[in-house]
Amino acid sequence: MPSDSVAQLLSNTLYYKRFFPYYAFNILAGMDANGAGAVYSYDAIGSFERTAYSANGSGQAYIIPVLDNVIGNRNRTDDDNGNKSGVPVTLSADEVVEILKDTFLSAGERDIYTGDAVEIMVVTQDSIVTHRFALKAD
Amino acid sequence: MSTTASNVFYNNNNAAKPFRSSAAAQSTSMLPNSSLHHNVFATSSEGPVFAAPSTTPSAASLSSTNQHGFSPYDLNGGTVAAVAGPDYVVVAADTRLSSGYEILCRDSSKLFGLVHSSQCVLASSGCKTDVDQLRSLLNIKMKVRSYARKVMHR
Repeated sequence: MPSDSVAQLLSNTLYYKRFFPYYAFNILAGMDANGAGAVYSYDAIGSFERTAYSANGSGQAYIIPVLDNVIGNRNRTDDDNGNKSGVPVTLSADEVVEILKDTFLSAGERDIYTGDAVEIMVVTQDSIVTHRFALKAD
Repeated sequence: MSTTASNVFYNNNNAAKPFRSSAAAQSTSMLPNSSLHHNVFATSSEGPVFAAPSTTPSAASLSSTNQHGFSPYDLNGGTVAAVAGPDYVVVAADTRLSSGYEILCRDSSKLFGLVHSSQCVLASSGCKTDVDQLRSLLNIKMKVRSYARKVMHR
């Protein structure tokens, strides 16, 4: 199934239980028909949006501001860094993995529900590579 | 017989017990709680019907009945994040499963590869039981669709 169909199916599945919802906050990641990465962000009752990046869950408040700044190129003091404000920068997958390690490490310091390890999947058109990075277990 | 909303509530509360539905057991002496703030004024084929108490019961009298503080939801915590690129998508999630101040599992994956899709990964935080059910249901729905189209999309 193409990723946009999966995205709609997930939305309908969540909305079907609108009055006794699944208490689940989802992000769907996949490749779109043009071979580009796609991130779909959901609430518990199936409202969704395709975005360039997203974070959900207990550490969301610690992750989103960092991604806004580093990936989304928002709220920056260096206006002339070569990118228009609010337009997501293009990074390599390896750079994004390192950024996500840092953000999860930071979230794990502040959020008691985030820790132990972070599992990072790099999805491309023909492979899924999983990385694992230990976080504090306290 | 007219039933008010509160009447229905008390009726259901007591009728749920199995011995209440047998006609032979219709004795107020067998109903220790009901005699405190209910009075039997009618008997239907389904068993005794109770009138609502004349005054609204206090919180104390409510807790004396068989009420269990069950909540279907738990917040098991955890964080998920994803970033899309021009030819890749990176999705990340921590592996801790908690409830309150307890850690239930240190290696519980929040990422779920959807095998009947084109490289889709579902990252979910929230209530683990609901996440498990949602994953299962989504997988089944996608499998049914792939069979219906006579094509296994991968």
